[in-house]
Amino acid sequence: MEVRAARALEVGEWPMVFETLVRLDESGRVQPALAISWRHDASGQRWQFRLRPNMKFHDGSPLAGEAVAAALGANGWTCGTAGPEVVVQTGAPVAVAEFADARRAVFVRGSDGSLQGTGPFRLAQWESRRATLAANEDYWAGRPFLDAVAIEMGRTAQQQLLNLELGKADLIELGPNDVRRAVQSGARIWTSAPVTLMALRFERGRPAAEDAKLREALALSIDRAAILNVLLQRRGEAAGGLLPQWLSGYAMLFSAARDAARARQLVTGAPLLSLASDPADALARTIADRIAVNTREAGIRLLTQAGGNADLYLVRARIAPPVAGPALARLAASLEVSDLFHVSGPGLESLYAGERALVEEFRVIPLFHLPEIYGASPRLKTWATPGLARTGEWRLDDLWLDSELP
Amino acid sequence: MTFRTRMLVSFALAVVVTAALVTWVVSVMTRRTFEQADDRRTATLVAQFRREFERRQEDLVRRVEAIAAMQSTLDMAVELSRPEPDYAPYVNEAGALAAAHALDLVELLAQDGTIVSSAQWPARFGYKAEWVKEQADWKDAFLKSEELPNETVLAMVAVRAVSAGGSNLYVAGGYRLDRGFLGSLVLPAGMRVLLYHNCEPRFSAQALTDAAGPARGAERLAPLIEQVREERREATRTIEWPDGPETFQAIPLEGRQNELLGVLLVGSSRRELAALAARIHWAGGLAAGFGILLGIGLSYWAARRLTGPVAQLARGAREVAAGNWNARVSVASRDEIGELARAFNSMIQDLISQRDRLLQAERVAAWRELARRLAHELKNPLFPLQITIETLQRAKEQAPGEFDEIFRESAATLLAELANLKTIIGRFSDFAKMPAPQLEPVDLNEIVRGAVRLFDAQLRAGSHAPIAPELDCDPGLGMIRADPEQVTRALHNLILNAIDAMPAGGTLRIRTRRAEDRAHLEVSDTGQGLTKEECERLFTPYYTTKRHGTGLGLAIVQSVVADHHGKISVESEPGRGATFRIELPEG
Amino acid sequence: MLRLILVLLGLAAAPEDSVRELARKIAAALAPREAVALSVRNASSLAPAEVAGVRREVENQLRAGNFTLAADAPTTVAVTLSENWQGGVWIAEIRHGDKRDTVMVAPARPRERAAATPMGIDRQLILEQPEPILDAVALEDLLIVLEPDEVVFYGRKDARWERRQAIALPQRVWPRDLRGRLTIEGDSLQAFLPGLACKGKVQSEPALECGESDAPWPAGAPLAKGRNYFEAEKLPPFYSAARVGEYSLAAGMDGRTQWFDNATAATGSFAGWGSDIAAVETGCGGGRQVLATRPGDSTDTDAVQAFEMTGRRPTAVSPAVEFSGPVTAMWPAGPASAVAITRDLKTGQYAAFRISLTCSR
Repeated sequence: MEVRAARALEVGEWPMVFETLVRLDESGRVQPALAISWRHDASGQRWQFRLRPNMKFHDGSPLAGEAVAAALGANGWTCGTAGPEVVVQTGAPVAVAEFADARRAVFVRGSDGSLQGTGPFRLAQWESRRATLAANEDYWAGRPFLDAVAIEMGRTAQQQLLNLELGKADLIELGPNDVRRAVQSGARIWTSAPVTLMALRFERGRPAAEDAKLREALALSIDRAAILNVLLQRRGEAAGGLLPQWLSGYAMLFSAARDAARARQLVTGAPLLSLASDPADALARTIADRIAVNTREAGIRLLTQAGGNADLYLVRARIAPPVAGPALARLAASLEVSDLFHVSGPGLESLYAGERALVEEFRVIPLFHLPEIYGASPRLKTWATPGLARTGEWRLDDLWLDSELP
Repeated sequence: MTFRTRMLVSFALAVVVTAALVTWVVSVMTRRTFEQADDRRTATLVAQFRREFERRQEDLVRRVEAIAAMQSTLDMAVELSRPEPDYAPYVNEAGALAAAHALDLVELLAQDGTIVSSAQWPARFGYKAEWVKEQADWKDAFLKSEELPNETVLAMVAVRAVSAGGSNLYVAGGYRLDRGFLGSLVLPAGMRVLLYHNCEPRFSAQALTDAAGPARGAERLAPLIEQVREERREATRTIEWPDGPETFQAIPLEGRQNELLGVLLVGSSRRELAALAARIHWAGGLAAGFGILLGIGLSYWAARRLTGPVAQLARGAREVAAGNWNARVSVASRDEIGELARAFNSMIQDLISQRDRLLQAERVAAWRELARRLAHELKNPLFPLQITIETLQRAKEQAPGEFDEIFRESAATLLAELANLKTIIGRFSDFAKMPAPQLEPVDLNEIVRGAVRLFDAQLRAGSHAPIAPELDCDPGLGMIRADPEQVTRALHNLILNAIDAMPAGGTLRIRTRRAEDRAHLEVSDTGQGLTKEECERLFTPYYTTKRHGTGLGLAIVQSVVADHHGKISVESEPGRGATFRIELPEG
Repeated sequence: MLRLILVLLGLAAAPEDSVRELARKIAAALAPREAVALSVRNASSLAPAEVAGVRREVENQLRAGNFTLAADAPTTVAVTLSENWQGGVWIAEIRHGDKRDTVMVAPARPRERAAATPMGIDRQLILEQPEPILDAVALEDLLIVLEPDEVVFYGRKDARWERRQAIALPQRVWPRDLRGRLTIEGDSLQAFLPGLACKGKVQSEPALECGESDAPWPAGAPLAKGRNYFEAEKLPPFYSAARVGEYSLAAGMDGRTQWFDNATAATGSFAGWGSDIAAVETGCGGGRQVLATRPGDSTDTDAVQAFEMTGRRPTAVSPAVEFSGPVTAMWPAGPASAVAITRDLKTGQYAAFRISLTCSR
């Protein structure tokens, strides 16, 4: 399996190795995982989880309530045990789905200092660009079909496609414009729900960022439809809000339409701004260039650059966890607009109001919601659950290889 | 300036002028010939450049046609000819085509002008390029102002249409006319090309580039560019750079609608011509200089040859003037100089003969004068002698008794007259045997004072009116080398002469002074003076104006002065006295 | 060895308190006795009946609050029944003039719908032969088989089909994974192959006229040149398509099935089906069903199962009928049946089956 991600993978992003107390299925329903039952108080701040019995970590040490409490305590929660249960005081009302967040995975440090989880695979080897997972023979939901998974990181799209074609890789990460070629070489395409937000972010403190009309004009001048159809090959959705429709349910209330005439009215003078995109992301560079063409018609000149300091940044932000409220808060934090995000109460309505207020500041301009796309070789088969969860995580426990195929 | 120098200067001048004139004429003619040749060369180069430009255009058209003929392009055209075609799969095609066919610009445009894919501005997909619909059939390459994300460039563009399903897919390919393009042109040595991209109404130095980047000295080319912009015709101008002149031919670059997109400047370096001209000047100068030196040398030699005999003649004449009567001029040439030399020699010969005759005559005259003087001098004493002796004879005969008395008287008279005679003869003898002077340091002032003391009594003697002596001795007069006896004698003679010249008394003035390394002695009287003729004859021995005296006095003075290598002169006017001036060398 | 996960969504009955809550919030944003123009739009997996129920309830609540409902009222209330992956999101946008209010409720997650009564699925062998079969149309006593090189006409003799005539097709170099389609309408016969369309007569002297054509196939779109998929506007390329109720379904290239809601213009996709789908109309159950193959490739055995679209997810309404090899083509063939062409993995023989659905007992 090959992953293009250059980002460092955190512990929590390996659900195959580290598990959470509960998990979300493909319909977003909470299912038991390490915990078999749970309850909470009326305020939603005190939770009690009954752990699955006879669980062991990968190194054979038993899964005890203390270990779980210790792992969960790293989130700033007050955790303890009460008999066979783990008690968690969250300090603020949380929904049970938040315990499915991969960052709340349970792990311990083994005697050799390595991280031990409880998942269907254990971390057999970890180097800077390569990880090997070996099947956990004693996994509580059944040993996975695959014996081992080798994960290589840091390869280019070209290399990955080639490896897939040559049969050297079974699962590769794909960009939207690689899908066609992967399909032609016989791969199957696994797509998640849109779990990445691509947006423009204004750099605080720069003159451009302080001109509200300019920000709004920029937002109105972008033609998302053309970029989505051509550059993103219709893989994804145009985004007017920060959260995708599948997560919030109200995303269609945010308009993603272009209004070049209104944008022109808002612009005074002939502003010149710089737009930086990730130097390693050629697609982002092309999208940035296209945005520059769009904004030119509104009278705003954008100079695109690869990296460096700029007035605007084209960024990608992962939308996680798959719960609307926390996801939005985390998005706001990663986009550096936490101070502009306020939710007056629980519930979707308040969340919507907070999101709308944030979006109408135009300090962050949502562009697209993009799915995770993977290409799978013909010999890689799934059993019951898809290998790629809707939320974009790998679910390798149900994968098997058809060894009859060459 | 000597004759030789004058000759030399004349010759040299002639040579210099000739050399300079020749060099100038040759230089001008050569330069003109080279200029014409260079003009022809420039025209050839410009034509060559035009062909190269056309070749690039044809090459561009071929490449675009190759793209249009590709199967994948046809497939694309078929796909895009459907109703509501999907451009998405082709958005990166142009970039790949540009790379594969080594073009700077490639655009794929749909029938309605929609940009399907753009290599030079990939983000412009979906926008419309209306210009592609302006023409039905595209043939040749043309020039176009192409807009890019950050700039506008001049481009050479060719278009081909690919027909499929009733509609066209346009393939537009091109080269940027930038420094890369200019650098890729194959140009002969000494030639360069600059491109001015005309995008602003006013001249902008940044818009002028050559193969290396922004062109230097753009401001110098501004007038030429402006001229082309206004007149829309080609123009030529030569620009003087610090390292040599360069001729520019400016060609207007027009687009399809004859709009002026830029100006192409083809520069042909005149540096070689200038260097050649300079070399010619140098060579000419060198040759002229060499010629001049040679000319001077030859002039010198010629002058020498010509003036040699003349100099010889001059030298001979000088020698003769100095007294060397044996000087001869040996000139063997047969020209006028030779004649002159021979004439000179014969003249000298004649002069020598004349001098000898003159000498002879003078000697004879001197002898005659001496004989006359002697006869005159002797006549006087001899007459009484004769008388006395006759008296004696008569006495003996007539008065024997008184003979003893008469004999005594006569003997006394005879003895006196004989003594006189002896004196006279002694004077002559003195004059005759005046010896060479014995030179020794002598104080002339002392001699003068001594002489005045000696003659003091005579000056106051009552036999004539008193003569007042005046003495003016120069204390700065040092010692001179002279024979004191002879100088004394000369001085005595002059004083005696002066006394004799003032029978009525007067003033005797004696003056010494030193001037120019010579001692000057002046003896002046206030007597009757002498006429001019008398002055001339004065120093002839026996010339005297005195009634008595041998007239040897002044001759002795003259002899002494001559022996001392001095000079003597007299100055006088009748009634005004006479002044004798003697110059003696000091040593 | 693959099992399909049946994702069942839908509302048994809209929670009434959610509707009331929504109505209450709408009322709170209105002026007393205001006249409003109410519109309700479904952007979720609710069934039309359920949507109608919600609308009725909202109207009732508003009338009970003394608000007048008038289509031309200046104040508009636009209700959108949306959902996220965890449940419904019902949104009401109230607009009066420039003022805009938005209220939301999130109904509780519904119970699962009981599985639909299974229907019967039946397969019947039509023809088996070593040569490849692209499509087959079986009439009473006439069978026409489309092969890569010819169209073969069979007549019935006793209980078997007897080869009568074959008309050669123009020589072509066919693309890989050749597909072909036969349609009969009355007496006229049409055959579709990549880049080729043939017309002919059936009963009278069978003859075919073939010519170059890029015309759309009965699937509604032309076959992409040189490829084995269709390309249509607004949809990504698809292998096969079917129309069920408000939904247009297309089996896409990425192994997912794309659905397009003609009513709301919403679109999405789900996994679990193969690349051949065909719509059939039985009149029972939901009225229309979709026959779908199993995901897999040409080295797997295949199965066909019938589904209904409930909301935006398929629900199996019949058992699966297995085959001894992959299904290479499946085309609708009449109202309640389809023709499936398979290739036996062991013998390599091609077989044409008729698949029919029968309503539940």
